[in-house]
Amino acid sequence: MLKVEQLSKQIDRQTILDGIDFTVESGEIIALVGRNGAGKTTLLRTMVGIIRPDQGDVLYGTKSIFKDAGLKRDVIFVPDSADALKHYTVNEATDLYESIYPSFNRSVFRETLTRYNIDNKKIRQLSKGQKALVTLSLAFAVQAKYYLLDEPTDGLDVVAKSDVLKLMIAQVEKRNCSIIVSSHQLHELERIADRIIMIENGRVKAILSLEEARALSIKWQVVFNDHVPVELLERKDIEIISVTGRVVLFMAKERTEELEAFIDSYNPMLIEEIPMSLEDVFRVQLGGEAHVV
Amino acid sequence: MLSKVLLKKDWKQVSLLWILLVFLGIVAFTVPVWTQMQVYEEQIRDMQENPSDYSDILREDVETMNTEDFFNSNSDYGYLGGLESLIPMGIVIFLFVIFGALMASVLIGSERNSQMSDFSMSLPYTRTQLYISKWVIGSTGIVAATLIGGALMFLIIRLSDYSFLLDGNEVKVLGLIVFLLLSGISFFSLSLWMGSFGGESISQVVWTFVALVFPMGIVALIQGSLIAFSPNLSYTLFDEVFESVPMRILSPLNNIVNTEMYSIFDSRAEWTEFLTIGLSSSIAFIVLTFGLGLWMFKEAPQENNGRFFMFSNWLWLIHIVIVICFAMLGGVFFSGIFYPQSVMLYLVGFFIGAFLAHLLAKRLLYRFNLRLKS
Repeated sequence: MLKVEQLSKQIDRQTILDGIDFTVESGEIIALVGRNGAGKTTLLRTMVGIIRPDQGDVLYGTKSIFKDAGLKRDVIFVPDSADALKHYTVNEATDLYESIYPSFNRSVFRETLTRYNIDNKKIRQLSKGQKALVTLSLAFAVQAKYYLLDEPTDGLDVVAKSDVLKLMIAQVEKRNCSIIVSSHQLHELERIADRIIMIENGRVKAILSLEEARALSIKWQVVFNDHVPVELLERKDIEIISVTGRVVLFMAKERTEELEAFIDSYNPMLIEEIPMSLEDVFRVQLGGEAHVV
Repeated sequence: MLSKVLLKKDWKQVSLLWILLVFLGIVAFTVPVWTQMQVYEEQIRDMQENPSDYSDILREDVETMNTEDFFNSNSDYGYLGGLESLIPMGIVIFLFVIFGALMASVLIGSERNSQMSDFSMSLPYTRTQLYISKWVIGSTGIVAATLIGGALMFLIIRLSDYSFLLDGNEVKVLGLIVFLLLSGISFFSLSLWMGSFGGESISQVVWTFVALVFPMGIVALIQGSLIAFSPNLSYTLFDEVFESVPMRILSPLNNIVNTEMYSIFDSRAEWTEFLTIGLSSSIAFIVLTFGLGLWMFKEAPQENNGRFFMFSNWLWLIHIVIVICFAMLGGVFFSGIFYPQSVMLYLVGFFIGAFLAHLLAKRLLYRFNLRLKS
């Protein structure tokens, strides 16, 4: 079990992490979501000991990852680019990983290379998708227990994204390892994540299963008899997505009786609940695009 | 403690520079020796062909003189030089200063510029292991360059017409080679230490330059400042400071300046001082810089990669030191350009220097920041 205990970190007198606390169980994929600058990358870097927290700890079993560097054989961090290995050829990188991690399985790695038709070139000469596949495959061939992936599909095309996701799912199914993945590609996380950790201003806003996340908020399409009431459009607790004639589509952070009563008071012709996507949950819980920094 | 894997990783980063250093080290140790021998040969030939041009120093028939006679400092035949002219100390030191800084900046600074630093820190090794590996790989380059270059230099002299210069001086030449080796490792250790808090490669090189000149520079600035106020102040005190053991330990350049090669071959007392103070000062400097570098590398906040100085809690101190040093520099400069020296001009220069340094420090310490993902 990997346990993040009350992690706090200030950088330039700004609080980047503020009492982050959660546990990662075996065999689960956790999506780390949050706005730009919410502290996701700092959290992942701290979890693997790159950054030291001001307070708190990261425990693997009962041992602190900051005191026993050897624990990192089972906790692998994969950054968002392959910049670190750009001067290595694929074979050289393989040799490096094999010498660092005794559990490295060369045949598993070779299998991935063959499947995705990746040649032994300098890593900087590979396409962005191939780089992502190589770095992830190297990490997965280590046969570690925990993987911390920072935006692994950032900037990849649709096919490469799909390949990366398949690779992640296959690892969890085969080896019961755990993956914590930070990404802004919410529709992809939706397909693979068991749990969502929402980070807002360095704090954990919520830890939910996907179902819980979807149930947390509502997305309604309401058709009124004559026009959309101005009072509804002016409400601060909802986010209007579209207004077309008498039809309004909106989301609300919470399902409240007061909101339901408010809508009912206008005797609408139709109230239809639209299934929430993770992106909808993100927008309504962590702020809409208008607030993106 | 030392990890072969990390050595392999660091070798990948620095191999080109390492090999180049060894190659240039061999060149620096051997080619100047060869060239100096050519100069000797030409000088001797010229003396033999045109003895009338050297009548003031040649007291005997040049035809009867052998090569050895031209190097006998106790004879009247003239003195062309000795081993101290053959051993290319300056060029080797220059090479080690440049390559020490380059290798150290590739091993730490450029890692900090890229995501390699994050990669290294995420590996299952302690920061102590990471630092030791970098120190070892760089030091071995200097050791290899010195041992191969020094041995070849020794052989070239031994197999030449000037072999007699080595007779009885073998241990002294060996001592100088060891001194060059220790000086090289000193420069590299210093630069690596600067990388433990300089957040990227340019900062590391700048810090290295500052650290090289700082101990002597600060004494010179204090001396200049005091003289501006009391022009009759004795210089002896500062000469003593420059020659003092603590100063030789704190500044490898000062240690080199205080090592007079001619005296080492000529004076037993100088040779003993070289063996005791010269060599041990270098060793003390290496121990000091290695220890400080290791400690600061372990403590450096990784989130400050890309900054000029990584320990943000201590920026105020660096700011004050920069302002004071440049203020004194301004004061010394202004008071020195007019004669007689004026306290008023010193103060004008002091305040101008302080103001400009304050602006520079603000920009350097608080705004200079590479955009690395945090």
